[in-house]
Amino acid sequence: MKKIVLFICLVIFSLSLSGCKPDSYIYDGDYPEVYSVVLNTIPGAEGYMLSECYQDPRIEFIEEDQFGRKMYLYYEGKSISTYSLIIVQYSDAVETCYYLNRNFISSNENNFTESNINSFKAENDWNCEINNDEFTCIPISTLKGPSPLTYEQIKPFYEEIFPGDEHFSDDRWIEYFVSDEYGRIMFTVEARFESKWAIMMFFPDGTYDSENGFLILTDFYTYQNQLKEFEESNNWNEPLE
Amino acid sequence: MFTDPSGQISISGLLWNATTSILGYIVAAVMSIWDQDVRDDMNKIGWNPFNSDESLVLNSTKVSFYKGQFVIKSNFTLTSHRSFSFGIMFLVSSMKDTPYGRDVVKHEWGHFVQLSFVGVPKFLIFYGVPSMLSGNNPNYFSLPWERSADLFGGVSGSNWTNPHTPNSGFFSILYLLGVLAI
Repeated sequence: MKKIVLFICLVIFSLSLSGCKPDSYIYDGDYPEVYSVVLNTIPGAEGYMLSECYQDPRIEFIEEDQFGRKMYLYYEGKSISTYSLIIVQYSDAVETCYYLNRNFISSNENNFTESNINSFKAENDWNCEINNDEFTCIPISTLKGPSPLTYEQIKPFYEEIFPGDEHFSDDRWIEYFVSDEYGRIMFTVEARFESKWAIMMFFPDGTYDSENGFLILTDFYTYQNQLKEFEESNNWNEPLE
Repeated sequence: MFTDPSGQISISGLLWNATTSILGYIVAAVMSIWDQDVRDDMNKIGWNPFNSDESLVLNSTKVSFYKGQFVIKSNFTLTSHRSFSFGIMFLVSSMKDTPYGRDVVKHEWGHFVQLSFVGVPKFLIFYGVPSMLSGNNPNYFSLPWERSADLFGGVSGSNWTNPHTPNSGFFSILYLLGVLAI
């Protein structure tokens, strides 16, 4: 019996030491250019799949047009944008480029219709000359950056958006999403017992606009236009006043 | 002492599982006296330890039961926030009620069944340790010590990073039979 207890202790100790931690998770799959685009454009994307270990998300190459644009499937098991098709306009070893706010479509199953795919391709100039002027380019990254704000800074806004949610003391439902060029920050949060996601926007100093600085999503797959309008109404990527 | 008369199937696993589940039920019942979360969790499953609804498990806060297995939900910092099963199912709280999350619950229950078959020592040596050492394998859920948990749990593999590899189910059963024969 003593041996078993000792063995159990060893098992737990080894688990605590082994290297599969979210803080150290680094994507080592074949498509870092897609991974980088996903982390910067799809709300709620964490960049890994959590079970008994932190596993790479599923990224599958689907198609390439005659000008080198590529379409991929992305899946990491989330309730928001569960399956997404992504179009990367251009990428090299350093950067990856995409059309802002129209670079992905999502579905709850991997069952995108031909007509959805065709209109998605058309929006992304599939089989047309590459248009550098419309690109947004970002550096290729294989890990999600650390949150610029602490949970204590985020929590009051979270409490205002989802009053009565039972996990205000728990930061695991909050995900850092993306920052703009001027330091504004977006976070995503999934309501604990409601079928809702929210996107919260903060100013660089951690303050926020409690009237207009959040967007509640109840449709988790076709929210791209809502997100675009939200960003525009909050002067995303515009100089700070 | 811990094997059946044929010497093939260890009863230490069954004993361990039964003991953890019974103790878990008692602990939940006692804690529910003062802990509202535990009371709500147990009310959610109607105090039925054989609850088979994965969503109820995932939507609980601290404890639950799934097909006879006691479930504890927490952050599990000690295990790097990883879910695992050793009689009790230790499920990371941030696991959401999604097809993926439901498959994780089923998979962990599959380990509960493995443990029942092979007993505690063999489970630790032939399932626990290999599982810990293979966490970065891209086909993690096709490995023999994981694949049979999917088989027992009824997980198709379509929600994992990579679907099951061909014949992995067959090899996982061979592995199980080999472990039983040792």
